[in-house]
Amino acid sequence: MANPPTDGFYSEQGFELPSDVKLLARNSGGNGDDPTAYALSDVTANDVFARTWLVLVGSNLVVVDPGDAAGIRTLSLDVESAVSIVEGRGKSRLRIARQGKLEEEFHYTRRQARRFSELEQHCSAVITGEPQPRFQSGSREEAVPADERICRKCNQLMPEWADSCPRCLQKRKIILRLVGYAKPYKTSAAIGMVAASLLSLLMLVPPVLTKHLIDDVLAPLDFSRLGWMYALLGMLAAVILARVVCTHFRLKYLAVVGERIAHDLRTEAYGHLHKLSLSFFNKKPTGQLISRISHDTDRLWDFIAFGLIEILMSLVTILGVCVVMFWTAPTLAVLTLIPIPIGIIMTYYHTVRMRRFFHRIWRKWSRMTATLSDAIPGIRVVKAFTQEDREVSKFNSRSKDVLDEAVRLHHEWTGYWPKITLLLQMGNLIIWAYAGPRILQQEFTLGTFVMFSSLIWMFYGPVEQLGMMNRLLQRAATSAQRVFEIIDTPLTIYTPTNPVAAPKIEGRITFESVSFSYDGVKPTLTDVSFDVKPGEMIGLVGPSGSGKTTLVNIICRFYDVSRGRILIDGVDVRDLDLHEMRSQVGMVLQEPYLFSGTILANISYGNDKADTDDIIRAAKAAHAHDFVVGFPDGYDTMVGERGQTLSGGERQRISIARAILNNPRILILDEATSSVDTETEMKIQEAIRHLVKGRTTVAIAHRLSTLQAADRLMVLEKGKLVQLDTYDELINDKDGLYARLHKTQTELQSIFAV
Amino acid sequence: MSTNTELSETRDPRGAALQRELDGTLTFLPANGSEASRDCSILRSFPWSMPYQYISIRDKDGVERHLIPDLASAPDTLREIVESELATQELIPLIRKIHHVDDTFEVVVWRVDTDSGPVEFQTRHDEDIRSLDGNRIVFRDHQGMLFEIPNLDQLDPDSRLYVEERLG
Repeated sequence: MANPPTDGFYSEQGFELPSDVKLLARNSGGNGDDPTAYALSDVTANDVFARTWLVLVGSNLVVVDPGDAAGIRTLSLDVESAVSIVEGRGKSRLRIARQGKLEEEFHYTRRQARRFSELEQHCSAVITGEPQPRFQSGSREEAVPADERICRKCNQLMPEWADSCPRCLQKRKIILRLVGYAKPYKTSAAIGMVAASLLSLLMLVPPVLTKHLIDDVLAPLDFSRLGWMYALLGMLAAVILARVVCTHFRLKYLAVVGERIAHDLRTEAYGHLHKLSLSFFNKKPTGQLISRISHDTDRLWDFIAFGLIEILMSLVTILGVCVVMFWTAPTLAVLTLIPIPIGIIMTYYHTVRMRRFFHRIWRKWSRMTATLSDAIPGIRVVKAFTQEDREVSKFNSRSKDVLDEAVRLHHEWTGYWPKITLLLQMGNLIIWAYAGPRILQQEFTLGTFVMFSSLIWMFYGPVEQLGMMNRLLQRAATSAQRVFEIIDTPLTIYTPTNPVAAPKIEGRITFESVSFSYDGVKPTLTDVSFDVKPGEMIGLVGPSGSGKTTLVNIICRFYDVSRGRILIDGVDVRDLDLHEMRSQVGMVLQEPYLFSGTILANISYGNDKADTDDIIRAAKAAHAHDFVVGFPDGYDTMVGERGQTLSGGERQRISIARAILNNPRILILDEATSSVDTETEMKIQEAIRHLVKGRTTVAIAHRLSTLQAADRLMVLEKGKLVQLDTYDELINDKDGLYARLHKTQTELQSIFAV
Repeated sequence: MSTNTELSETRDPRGAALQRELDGTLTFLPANGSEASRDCSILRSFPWSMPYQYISIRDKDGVERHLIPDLASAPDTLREIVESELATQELIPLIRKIHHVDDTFEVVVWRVDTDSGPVEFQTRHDEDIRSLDGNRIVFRDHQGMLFEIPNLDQLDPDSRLYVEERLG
């Protein structure tokens, strides 16, 4: 069976129809047609995971149960059939009825929801005789969203936006790719590496010199060897000096190389981030993206500058110690090494446990800080409801959790070192017992023995280091993967290779049966068609959740349509140069965003070369000039996060000035719902009037004045365009949605407008 | 549509009934004999904390037609169909054993035995694992599938450790 569930665990995503099922369906579905849609019914009515394929071939729905050779049935669909989806909590079903009677229900989990939604649409199209919706194959219509790609190897969905399945991509490959970033700096990296290796080897020299000092000078008590002693001391001094130099070189070169690589990664990731579509940003919390670019790259610096090199140094040290020991006294070396395996095992378990403790303490810590970030911004509510005590005790108990965990953690590592010391001391005793008599018999020299005693201590640092190696590599690989994920995310919205030039857009906007869905399951816009003439102003109205914001977002091509086309001046937006097109579309958002910087910079955002005269003209048209000049710092007033706080009305007018200066051909206006005082309101209205003049405008409108100013109103309901007409016509259509909305709104206003 | 803020109006279950049509849909017949609502759906108001209380019957436009305060004391004309419909539309496999957890990369992959069969699923964020009143653990995988451990203490030690390590 193709695509078997992995080791019996149900993990199938049902994106691909297994070839044998396809063959069976084709043969039993009639005239050998190819399937048009399919879905995997993955659970039975009795809540047991199952694998029953539903394949639509022509007008037949073939039910294939691969576990059962005889389990092929065919349900034929015709005008008397009805196919619908009943959504449930965890379990949905495809209901097939015929002549008003239930025929069969197929159950499925959320995992298969997308395919079932497509199957249902295809079946409905068969029943009504409409042309088949195209989205399972074909070039543009298809555009399988990035989050629905499945890894062929492990049969699992790949993380939302990874280019390659991280579960199958080996750690080694990621680390190698990371090391590949060192290529431009290979000389510095090589110097650092050599210095580090040398440093490890130099660590071995002092014990060897000590041995000679004892054996050649101190033990014989021979004054004539004073010269030799000074020579040895000189060598020791030289070694110390060399170590200082090596340490310096190692740190200097590798730290700098690490920084450069981190910088390269950061800038590459951030640069790519700006090319990605909004759907990418919707899926990832801002904080996580920020942490990927700042925190993760910093962690990689740490890994390249220290982690990687410490692994190398540990290996060199261990090897060096072994070589020296076996070289001087093989039997003693074997004895000395006896406690080492025990120590290694202890160290290994210690690191595993420590990792677990760190994990837990980290979680408890973040729970504790979460109460802070929850309560402090909400301090007014806390005080108003006099919940101070409750918040404090909540924090106290979470802080206590951290304390308890920390006590356990400290208990663990404080227990480890004494145990290791005990082990080594015991080992030392064994060596004494073995070596003592032999020293007296002059089989060994005292110096050899002293050297061994000091070498044995050099084992544990590196062993501990290597015990942590796995975790170190793991963390680096994870961080690298997170950064690479950004870099590797394919662009879903981009300029085609041969874009249609549109240096000056006229402003005609045409929707041709546009449908759009954010997740591929629930449609947000369904079959919307309209035509907006250049210079026309359209007011967009409808209940919340009716798709207004989505509609304006897809005009700007923040997202690509799922079906149908959007044309600007008769050209598909997907054929236009993205940058050229967007630079001619302006947006005034409901909650205007001001960047930190001066008011001047904010108005001229996107128009760096704007003439000061033009900026002032735009500000005047937006009714912003007067209040801006009224500020002590005038146009140089700092706004944004750390700047002056502006009122909602002021921010609005600055963003309108920004749009006026930008002089777009098409204007998207998302009117603020929040009310401001009448005077400000009038000023904003006037500013908007200046703004919309001579441009195609699509306005999500709330205010009566805006609605009346619009040439036509577009009424959306549940993603469908239900009315499109002038204000007067819509008001007079008493049964229409708009007249009803208008009535409730005026009723509301009569209550509040006193 | 008037907003109904008074619970008691819809509270009295006497005489109200649900009816399963031949085509599989549900029809709600209100107590006062007013117009029936076709193609209704059943929703729980408190799926985790009070699964059998405040069960909402909604018409096909999503408008609440009836709120059952307590399913146990609801008349049979409602209770039986509500129970069968909830059973058909809900799937929350109970986890019996956790075989393997792989969290090599952010995405955590769980391989578990459930009362619905062995299954593999992925969680993405810490919030995907919720602990309700201490020992009851609920998982929501990245596609929205739900899994539950009714009592963590009754799981075998290895399985328990897997969960505890990833829990706050």
